[in-house]
Amino acid sequence: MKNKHDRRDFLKSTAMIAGATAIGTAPISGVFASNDDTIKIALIGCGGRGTGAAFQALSTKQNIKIVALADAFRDPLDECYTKLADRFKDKVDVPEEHKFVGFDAYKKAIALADVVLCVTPPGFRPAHFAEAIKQNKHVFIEKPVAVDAPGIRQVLATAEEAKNKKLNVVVGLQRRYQNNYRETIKQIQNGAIGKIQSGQVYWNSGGVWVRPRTANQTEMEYQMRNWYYFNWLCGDHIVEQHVHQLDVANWVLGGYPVSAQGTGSRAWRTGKDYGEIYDNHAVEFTYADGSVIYSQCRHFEGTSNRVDETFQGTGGKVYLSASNTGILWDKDGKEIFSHKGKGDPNPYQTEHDELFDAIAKGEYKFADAERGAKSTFTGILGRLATYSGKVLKWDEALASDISLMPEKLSWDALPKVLPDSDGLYPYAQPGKTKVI
Amino acid sequence: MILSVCFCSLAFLEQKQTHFAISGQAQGTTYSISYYHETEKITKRQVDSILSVIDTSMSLYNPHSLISEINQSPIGGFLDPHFLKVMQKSIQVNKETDGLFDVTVAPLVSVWGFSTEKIKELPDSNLISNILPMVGMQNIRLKGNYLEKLKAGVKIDLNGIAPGYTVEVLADYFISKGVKNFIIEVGGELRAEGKKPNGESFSVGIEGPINATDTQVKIKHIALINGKALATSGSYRHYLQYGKERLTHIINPKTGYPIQSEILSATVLSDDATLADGYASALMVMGVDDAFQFLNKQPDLEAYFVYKDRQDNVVDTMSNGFKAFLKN
Repeated sequence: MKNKHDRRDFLKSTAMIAGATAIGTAPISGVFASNDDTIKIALIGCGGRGTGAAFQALSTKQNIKIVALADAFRDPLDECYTKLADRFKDKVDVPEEHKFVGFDAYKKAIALADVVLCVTPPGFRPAHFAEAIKQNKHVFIEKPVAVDAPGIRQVLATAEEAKNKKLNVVVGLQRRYQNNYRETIKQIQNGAIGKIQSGQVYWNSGGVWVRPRTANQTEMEYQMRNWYYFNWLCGDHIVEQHVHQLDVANWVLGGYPVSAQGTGSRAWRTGKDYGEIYDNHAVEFTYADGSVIYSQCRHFEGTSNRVDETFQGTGGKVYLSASNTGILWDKDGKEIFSHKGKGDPNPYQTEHDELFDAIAKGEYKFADAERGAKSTFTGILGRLATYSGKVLKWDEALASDISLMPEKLSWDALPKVLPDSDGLYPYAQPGKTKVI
Repeated sequence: MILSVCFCSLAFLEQKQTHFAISGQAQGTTYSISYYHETEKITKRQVDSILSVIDTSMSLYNPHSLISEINQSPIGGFLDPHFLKVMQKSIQVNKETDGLFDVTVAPLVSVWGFSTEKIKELPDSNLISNILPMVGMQNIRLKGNYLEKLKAGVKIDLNGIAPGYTVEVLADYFISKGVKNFIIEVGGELRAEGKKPNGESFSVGIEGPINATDTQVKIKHIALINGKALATSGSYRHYLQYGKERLTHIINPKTGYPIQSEILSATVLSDDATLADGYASALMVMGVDDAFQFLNKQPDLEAYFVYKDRQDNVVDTMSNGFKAFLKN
């Protein structure tokens, strides 16, 4: 039987490890050392997903309180607080002085917590993740974890630091916590359908929200509000959304692509409200062993949805979907496994259940950041391939120093991409745009 | 639209059983509960807490509810236990009514002006024909607790079945707390269990419109209910007046247009308030003759109809089994 450590034992052993590796950091956050076994969480990014993540964290079986909220804007913070307080009552302990607003709000919120939920727009996540680990906190970080190569490199470095400090990190790629995926892919890893040679992954659906420009907004504020349509905040939907399927592909193949080539465009979303991102990408990812994954994603209204993954192996094939589906067939087309999804838990909840269970027991179990970064970079590589129209290699692209982030983060500062006199934004032109 | 129901209760005669009444607002309508117990076993706060959870799950009036999130998502999402149960029952009723009960009618309900947003003009046939491909439960798939949209424009409206479900949830809660004698009503859908201290079943007044164009109602019959649920769908209160024409909020999912049925209200008696609510909505779409053909295949259902005959008189009719529950 595994020993259960209470949190004070965990504090003691982790402090010893930190000292031994001479990282030079402070001991694990002092709140662990208190007599109160309440796990305190801070939410960074109070929008819809952030509020959802806080709901899920507060819904676990552990003794958890939310003690700080941080957002660039006050209004989503207030809305989030109202919903949390209404639902979770005493578990919400966020006095006014623990509600932080602005670009630097995250630092103060992180300081108050044991666990940090990093759920801002993706562009900010590398910096927030780094700060959380620097302050010795456990982290839940949503996907994707970055939007450009410098951001990915920062996350990879922070992931290493988190491992050294034995800080649990869960990345919100929830299919990793979904029963049908876990069970089916385990069978693939055990050789049920032989060696995987190819696959097709899709995220084809309608689009997402739009927040049109309002009067008196600075350019920075407008882009921050309408963040989905700007790469420095979102990464384009091949990164922001399709990362799920690309992560599944990497999981099934057991590695990451070495190169990518593809095509994409703006066919549907062409107006002022749609920033600079594409609305369709089709990419071929090639892996070191020669396997090829075909990836397709689009945001077209009025068309058929397809959000799933299928792979072909030397001994059969597999179909996977977030709708609790996992089916394996042998090479003769006979079904050899079908996941029965009845009663499966919601994986968004499972992510938090497992994370907070480990934290409460003082266990170090989760180190998702590296694979989260590499799957995110798979999407970024795909974006760079479609934007440039060139065959790009993983190593070269990851080494790129092209950063999408503004030089300065303040409401009167200017992002790097700006509208023309008609309000339209420049966007990548394959064959012309330099991406690495 | 839900027919409001009044119910009668007598003053308690036995010292042991005290009468308690709880009422309030929920799901865009009112609720009313009457129960008998030795002590105040269940409070309004407890009831409101349950209703709040259901609202957070399935209320279209709450922009942050799960159903609002699912509707905003182009692909669907994971359902909580309440939503899941209601979807399962919705699929059942949809199949049994050959698609006349359909929870994917939300885009049609919206363009006809019956959702949270007001419209400036009625939809034309072009708009309806553009929306219709998004309507139909063949456009969704329920796999475990995941609701998958096969088309991005699919949106869900559970207002035709969620109130009945809410009644069932509350009834189960009361029973779990040891309350055996109660009547629970939410937006006109109700369930009654047990008896009053005088040994009588709970009395339910069934209202109907006085005439086809008037919103005034009168109690047409008194029913005695024990261990049964009652749900009513009606077209005479919730409507849009457009010139001389009155458009009901009940939309035919197959045509995309408000129904033009002779039925003014349909009241269904069943063991299950959730199913009763769904069937009541579907029966409105069917018309009287088809409704009775349907009832012939459903031995567990009884129904009462108020409708316009060919001479435009407002008349009523009911299934044989429904008569057995009437006091008058």
